[in-house]
Amino acid sequence: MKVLIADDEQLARARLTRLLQVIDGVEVVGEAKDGEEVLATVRRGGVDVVLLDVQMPKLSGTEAMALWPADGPMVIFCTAHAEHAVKAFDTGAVDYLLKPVRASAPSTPAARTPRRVRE
Amino acid sequence: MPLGVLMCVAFVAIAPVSYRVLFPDGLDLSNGAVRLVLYALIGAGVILSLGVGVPRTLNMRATFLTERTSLAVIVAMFLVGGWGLGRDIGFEQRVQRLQAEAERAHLLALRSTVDPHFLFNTLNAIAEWCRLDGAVAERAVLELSAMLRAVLSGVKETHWPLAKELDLARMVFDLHLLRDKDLFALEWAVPDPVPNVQVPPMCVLTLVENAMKHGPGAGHRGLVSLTVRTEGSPPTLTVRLENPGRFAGSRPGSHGLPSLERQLALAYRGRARFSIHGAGEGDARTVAELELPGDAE
Repeated sequence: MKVLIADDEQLARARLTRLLQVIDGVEVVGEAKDGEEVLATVRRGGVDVVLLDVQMPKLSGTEAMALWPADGPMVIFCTAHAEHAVKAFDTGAVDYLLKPVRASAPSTPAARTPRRVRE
Repeated sequence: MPLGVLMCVAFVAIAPVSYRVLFPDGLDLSNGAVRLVLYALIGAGVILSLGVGVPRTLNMRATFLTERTSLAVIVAMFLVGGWGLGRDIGFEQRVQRLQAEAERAHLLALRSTVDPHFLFNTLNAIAEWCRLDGAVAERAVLELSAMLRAVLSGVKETHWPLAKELDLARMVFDLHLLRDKDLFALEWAVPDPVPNVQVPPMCVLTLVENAMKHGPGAGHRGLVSLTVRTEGSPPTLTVRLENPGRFAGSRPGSHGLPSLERQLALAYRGRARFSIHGAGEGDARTVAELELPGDAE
């Protein structure tokens, strides 16, 4: 499963990368610092899942979701904002992680997501 | 007829005022009897002046209102009515005061937590620092603890020293820079020592959070500048915060700056001024400015 990490904060990206690297079958294939960069990477293809922050420069995570390609990768929101969860699922997110991210947190959606990727 | 109108005017104008003067809110009733006698004397004096003195002076003939029994009833009405009206005025003032206190408490409750986005992102960073750099993690935990302690202490106050408010603002800047040292450059133009002025808690913090969210937090890199100065006598305090990023007007649903404006209105009753506007070349920067009298009520 190829994962793109989208967060404007380097330390947050580093944390997710480290937590994901220990999960079997998960490969971090890129990072994005803002919503526009996320969309550009997603449109190029080669990504199965995006871990997407909400508050980012240029385009927020939810704004980027509004422009998401129809055949785009699945999205797991990863944010400090608990209040955007309903909107996130309405826009098609498969999961919602809250910061600070626990070491075990990415493994739960990661375990679920490959099945969805294969479907 | 003119005598009746005169009595009514005197009744409305004098009775409640004399009651309020003699029996203000929170009065220690140890001298209540003396005040009651004084109140009765005022009532009797006013009514007898109008019911006996004025007719005699103007050689008016006796009427129903000038009869002894009528005058006694009017004095009684003056005293009871003054008590009722004066008490109502007291209730109204108390309700207004309680409403203002409740609103102040509500606004402080809104400000009782730091921006959750900032808080949880900082905690997320600390979690990672625990792995990468224990010393930085320790510093961040201590900074964050001091900041939360300051916020909790500010919630209990209607105003506190400017120095405390600026300490809080500095902690927020420092924590942002600890997370990303290149996020912005800070210009801290604060007099040393900090002016001894009282301000409403979290008023500068609100400006800082707003500047960080819509400035560096929205991808606008550059200089963030906080300037504090006092001028005049009595002093007027000016706090000016400038950040990169265009001012896009007030955003629907945002409550930070509207809450700040209400907090200032309650604390200073129109004597404080708050403005936020574009600045710099092409209005590419945002300036928020507070002008506060040197005393908060």
